[in-house]
Amino acid sequence: MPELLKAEDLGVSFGGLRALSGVTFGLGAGEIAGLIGPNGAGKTTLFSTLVGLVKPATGRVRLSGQDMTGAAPNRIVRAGMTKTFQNTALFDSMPLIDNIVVPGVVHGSLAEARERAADCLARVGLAHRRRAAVGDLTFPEKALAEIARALATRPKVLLLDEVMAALTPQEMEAVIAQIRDLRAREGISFVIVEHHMRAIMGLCERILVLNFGELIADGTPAEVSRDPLVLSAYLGEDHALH
Amino acid sequence: MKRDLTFILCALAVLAAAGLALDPGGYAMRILCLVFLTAAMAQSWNIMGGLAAQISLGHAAFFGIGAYASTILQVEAGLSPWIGMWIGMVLAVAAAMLLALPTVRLRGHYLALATLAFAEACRVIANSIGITGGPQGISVPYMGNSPAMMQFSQSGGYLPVIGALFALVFGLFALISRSRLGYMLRAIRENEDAAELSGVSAVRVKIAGFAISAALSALCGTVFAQFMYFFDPDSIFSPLSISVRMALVAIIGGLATLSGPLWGAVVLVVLEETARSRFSALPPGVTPLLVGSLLIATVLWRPAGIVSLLPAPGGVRPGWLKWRKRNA
Repeated sequence: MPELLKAEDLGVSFGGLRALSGVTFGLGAGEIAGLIGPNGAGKTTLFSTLVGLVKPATGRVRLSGQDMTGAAPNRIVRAGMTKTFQNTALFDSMPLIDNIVVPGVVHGSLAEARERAADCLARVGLAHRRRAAVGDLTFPEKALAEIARALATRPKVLLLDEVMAALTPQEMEAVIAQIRDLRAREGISFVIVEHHMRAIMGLCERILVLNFGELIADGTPAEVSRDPLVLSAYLGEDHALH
Repeated sequence: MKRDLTFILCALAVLAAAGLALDPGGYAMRILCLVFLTAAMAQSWNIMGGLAAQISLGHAAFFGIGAYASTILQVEAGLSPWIGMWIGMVLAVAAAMLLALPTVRLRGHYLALATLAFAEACRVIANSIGITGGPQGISVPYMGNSPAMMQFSQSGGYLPVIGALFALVFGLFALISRSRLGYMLRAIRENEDAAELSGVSAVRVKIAGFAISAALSALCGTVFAQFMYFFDPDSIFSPLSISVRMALVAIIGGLATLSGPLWGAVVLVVLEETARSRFSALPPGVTPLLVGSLLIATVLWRPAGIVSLLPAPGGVRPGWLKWRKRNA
């Protein structure tokens, strides 16, 4: 599979703290990868570094063969990669539909942006809430709205940061079906940070494991769930039995 | 858009009706002109300060550049301010670029401080060079009633000019706030990182916003110079009486709203003038203290500004009625 996203030897430090160290991985077109690890392992920092919100101290980020290291986030988004926010970061004073219009107005007319926004909201099942104020949305709705806004940027690679937190099992199933559908119809690649092991092991064909800022495993769900290093760092011995 | 247009037309109708009813050379006419001029100044600031929440305390720099450019060109070359105002706008846009390039990545208080320092630098420069008249200030040559030189013998003569300025600035604000640029400015206001991850180039959008805001402030500066006839560096580049005043009027009226700066200007100018005439016998400092206290109370009571007291579209009950009901 040709590599769409390539992270090479990424390192990030915050003062004396090494948040990421020597992280290297690639992601193919249409691939769905899970990124797991204990709290503080560096998952969100890795996402922020990939999209340009955090500048790496070492290493490179390539997207479709283009070097994106140190590029402004908006340039990386226009090249085809964006992320959602773990605690959601919607534009609170705008109605839901206007939140999704914003990515569209960067390149197209307002009318095109509105059409695209309505389509993206329908895809995540929020068409009926288009006029709602952000403050009136439930947390799962906000997470879905984040996905809709990310879709409006027409991404090739979408980094989802715990979008399934606080979802009911039914809502989680709906999001998983949506991700599979987007991959099948639009060929979008995903990297998904998630703590719901059942969901992530079922959805992803590949799992990356971070611990103390280092990538300690990269393999299929079956391989990773048997990896002794992963079991001791994150999953625990019980998980190996399943 | 229809609602915005209706508001602007109603405001202009009130201006015209008051203009016909008032004595063209009277005190009330002067206050009316000042209210609409102050509203236009605040609305220019509101493009960046309101729509994008980029708090500038240096808009006096652009305002002063507009005033000086047209006045110096009139004094030195006999050029009409109708032409000088365009040159003032171009110079203000150039100054905005000069300011924006190194500071546009700053957020919050840092941006406010950087812009404040820029206006202060303009004040110091204007005080130390000859062409501006230095600390002695500069006077607009008196030409009597001369519309071609944007000059009128009575305050009432300025009313159509100020009305046109008001319509231009408020009309542009309405257009921008509903345009693609408006969406991007508001996205930056809400969350700059999320805006960037939606593909918005915060740097470019802020520079564009600053340039428009600076150009309109310079235009207000030209009209202000013609209306006042005299100014000096300390007054025209004043952080308090120009920069903070622009922000204050927009905040009191309602940030990022179309009508807010007009309501803010009505309250502030009328309050100041009333306090000045009624309490002139009191010791110095008491009047600003009273006005300041009232403004603090207004902002605490209505953080969203005076516009939050007015009926919202769709017949929603005015905010003050809700407040009364809650406290009944």
